[in-house]
Amino acid sequence: MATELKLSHTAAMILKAIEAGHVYGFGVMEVTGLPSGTVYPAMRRLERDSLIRSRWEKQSIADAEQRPPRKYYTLTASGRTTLEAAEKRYPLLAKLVPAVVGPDA
Amino acid sequence: MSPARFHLAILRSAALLVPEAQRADWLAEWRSELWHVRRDPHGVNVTAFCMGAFRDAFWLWRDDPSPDRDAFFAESPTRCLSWLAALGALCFAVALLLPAARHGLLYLQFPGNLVLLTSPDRNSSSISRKRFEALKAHYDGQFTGLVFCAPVRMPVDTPRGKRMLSVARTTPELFRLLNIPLARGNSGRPVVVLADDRWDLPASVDAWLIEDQSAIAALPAYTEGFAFGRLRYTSLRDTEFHFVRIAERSFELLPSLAIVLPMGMLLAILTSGLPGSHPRRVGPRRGLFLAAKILLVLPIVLFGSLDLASLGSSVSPVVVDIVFFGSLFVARWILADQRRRCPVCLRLLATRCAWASRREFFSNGTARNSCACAGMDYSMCRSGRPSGPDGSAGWISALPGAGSSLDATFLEKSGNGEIQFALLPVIGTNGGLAAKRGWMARWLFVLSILCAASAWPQAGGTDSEIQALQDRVKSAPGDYAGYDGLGSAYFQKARETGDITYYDLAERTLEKALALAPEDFRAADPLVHMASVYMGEHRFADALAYAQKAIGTGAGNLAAFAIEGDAYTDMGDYDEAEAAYNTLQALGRLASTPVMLAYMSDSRRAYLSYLRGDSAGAVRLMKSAIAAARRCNVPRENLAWLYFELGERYFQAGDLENADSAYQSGITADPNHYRSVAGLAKVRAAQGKFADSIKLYERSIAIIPFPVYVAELGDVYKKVGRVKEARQQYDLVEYIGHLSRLNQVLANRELALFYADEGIKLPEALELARKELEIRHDIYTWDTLAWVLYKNGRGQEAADAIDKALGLHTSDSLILFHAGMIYHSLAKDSDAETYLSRALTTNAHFHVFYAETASRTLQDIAESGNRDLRSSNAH
Repeated sequence: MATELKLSHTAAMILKAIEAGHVYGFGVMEVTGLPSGTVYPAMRRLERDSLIRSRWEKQSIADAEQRPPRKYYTLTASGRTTLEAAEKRYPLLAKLVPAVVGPDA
Repeated sequence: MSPARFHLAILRSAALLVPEAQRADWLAEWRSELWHVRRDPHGVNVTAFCMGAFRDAFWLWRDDPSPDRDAFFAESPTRCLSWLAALGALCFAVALLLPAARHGLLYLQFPGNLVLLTSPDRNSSSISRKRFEALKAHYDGQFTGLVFCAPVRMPVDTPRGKRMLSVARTTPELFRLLNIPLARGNSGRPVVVLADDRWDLPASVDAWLIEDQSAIAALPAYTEGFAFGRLRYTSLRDTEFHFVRIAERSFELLPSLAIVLPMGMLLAILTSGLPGSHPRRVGPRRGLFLAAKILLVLPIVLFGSLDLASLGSSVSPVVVDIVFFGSLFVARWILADQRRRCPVCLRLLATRCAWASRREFFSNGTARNSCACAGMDYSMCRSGRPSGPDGSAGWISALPGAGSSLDATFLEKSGNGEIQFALLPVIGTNGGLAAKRGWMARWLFVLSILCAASAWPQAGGTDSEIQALQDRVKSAPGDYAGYDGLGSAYFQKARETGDITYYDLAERTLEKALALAPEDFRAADPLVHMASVYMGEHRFADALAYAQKAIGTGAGNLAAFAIEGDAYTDMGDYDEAEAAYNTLQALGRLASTPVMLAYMSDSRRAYLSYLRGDSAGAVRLMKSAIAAARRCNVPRENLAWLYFELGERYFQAGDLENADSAYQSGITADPNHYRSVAGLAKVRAAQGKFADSIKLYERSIAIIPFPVYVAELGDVYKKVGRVKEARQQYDLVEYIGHLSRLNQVLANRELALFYADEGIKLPEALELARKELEIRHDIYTWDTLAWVLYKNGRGQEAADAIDKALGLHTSDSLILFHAGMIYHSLAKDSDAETYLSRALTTNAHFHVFYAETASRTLQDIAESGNRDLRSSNAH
């Protein structure tokens, strides 16, 4: 069950990063310091396990800002529950991943 | 190539690994991210970022449950060659990108005894011009040419402005020594030659300033520079100087590798043997394919080794070893791949696991013209699983060669020119004939016969296989293997369609095969197939007898041990089943590969583990079986079955999310797998999504109207208040149960449970349950009997029966619920409370109605307990 899922520290960091408002892959990379080859596969796993879900940004928003649309990730309910359990397991998680202050939030 | 294009090319290359369905989305995401990464103010390494896409893509590729993934690599020879060509090109491209590798590849060789002269008393390889003049005066006769060059740093005007360059001042003599022709201007003015890093001279300079000898002679005496010369003889006599041969400094890569590479390949061929020839004319394609593979792997080995050895600043000498061992490896792969392919159409045989051991094959091998290839042949790896409580068909392991442990030992041509051969067992009473193994020609012959023998299951469907085999038995009525294949095909048809008339056909055809087969180990396959049919017909005792007969032939047929275990499991003899599976494990370790063995035994052991209350262990084993099945490239239906079983384990443990995922994987593997569809419907019902559940149940029933699922659909209709539709489904259950004698046999347990659940025809239900108990004594039959007895108001007998059902401590909520209700009827509320609580703890959504009934009953028990307590306190 998702609530009983034990996350690796890396996965927990990524989950925490998403919860903190780093809602796309590169943002997660920057805040966690993990390489792209770690972050993206981990996010696929989390999405497969229904801990996060992704959605594409509206084309109109991207067009307005003259950039390609981004894929954003958010926590699901079970992802939030799993993260709570992971935070008990890794108490320093919150310190490792600061919350976003800015447009990503 | 611009960096932007280069990065996009990396992403597009990685995208090739991503399953097609996800590729566009995946690439769009990475391209979008790349756009942002490029504009990141912190200066991210964009290439490193893009390289991460390979890991991401590889993960998606590995996680893709689609059987097409394996088939993608398995099927066509063209695809194999394309991949080899692409890999070779990639290795070459990487070699060009890596500086050290490029240097090794494009190195300019200097002819003759070209040397660099150095002073032994100095660490650097430079000497002063004064020393050079002394050297020249003393040793000039020993050199055919001796030249000094002095690198200096000087400002040079370039189109991009003034830059400091390292320029070596020298004479044209240097280029004569190097055999590099020079074009000189007519004016006689000095000519600048831009340096090329291919010249591996120690004076690393940006350009050469070619001057007259007099200009060099005019340099100050302390000017440091390099002295090059070409020895007249092979060594320098009586000298205070040291010299280093320039030619030795260079690594003569390509010529060395060109020698090492064939040596490695030759050694591989000598140690593993030639692929051999095929007994029939198979045309030149096979030879051409082999030659093409060899040609295409050469650049892979060469450039791949160079890439590996060039990861440092220079090409490591270890490149020779890498090439040698690499060529050994690829040569062995080429030969192994050649053997694993159908000699006629060159497609990979589907059952790689089967090929890992040459002993796993049996056939009589008379003239056959067809072959079975990847995606078509499910003969070697076919097996199914009993679904436990629903009482469906048991373990199935079918078809020519399924786990047979035989080895071809000789072949000869008979008088009429027809190729015949005999096979002798290596395991069992006649075992131990390993002396003549290793004859590759014979091995290849066996391979070709396997292609022919496995002819029936074509990708187009079982119908065409049946047609082909019917034609075959008409043309060769004495060929028992033809009947054997046809019987198996009928059985497969029964499995796929649920049409039980095919059981009769399969049985009659296999009887014919057995009548024609010699009474020795060659009868093992028809016996095993017959045992499979009997398992499907729930004639477990007969299945057991035939499996044991197959074992008795000494053929070492692993499938026979598997079916023996399955029959024991269904008959409730769990210790015997475990013993059979242990034998399967022990023999499998000798006669099969770990993957094949895991596929054959892990899902079976998972079921036993589950029955014994070890749900976590059962899930672990099921996952192992699925991983093995995927590596074995098993047919869709088998993979779907395994996912379905995994889903059942998760569902019974109350893990709806994982059950959902497992059932969905089963549907992805085989969209027509009605059990997986019904499993998903069950999960949806447990999640309260009744509309989805109804749709899924209807979809499952449209594929095969399996009575259990029809009844479950009725329950869901009833749950949402659509009583009329529910009634129709219940009527259908009864109708299916009475369609034929065999239907009754197959549906005894389901009908009995159905009647009991509905509270109708209770005496008939009891009769059915008792009939079933005559056939098998597994825990689910005891459970059915207990529930029917309870409904018939025979509580004490029901309690005795449910105790037997609980004998293995199985964590099945439905059994626990039945136990709770039975004990509640006997006023044993303490026991009832325990069992009902366990039922709900194990899976809170185990049944559309009974989960609520269990909660209500627990509440009643609690209230009744409180009343009793109050009453006793009042007194």
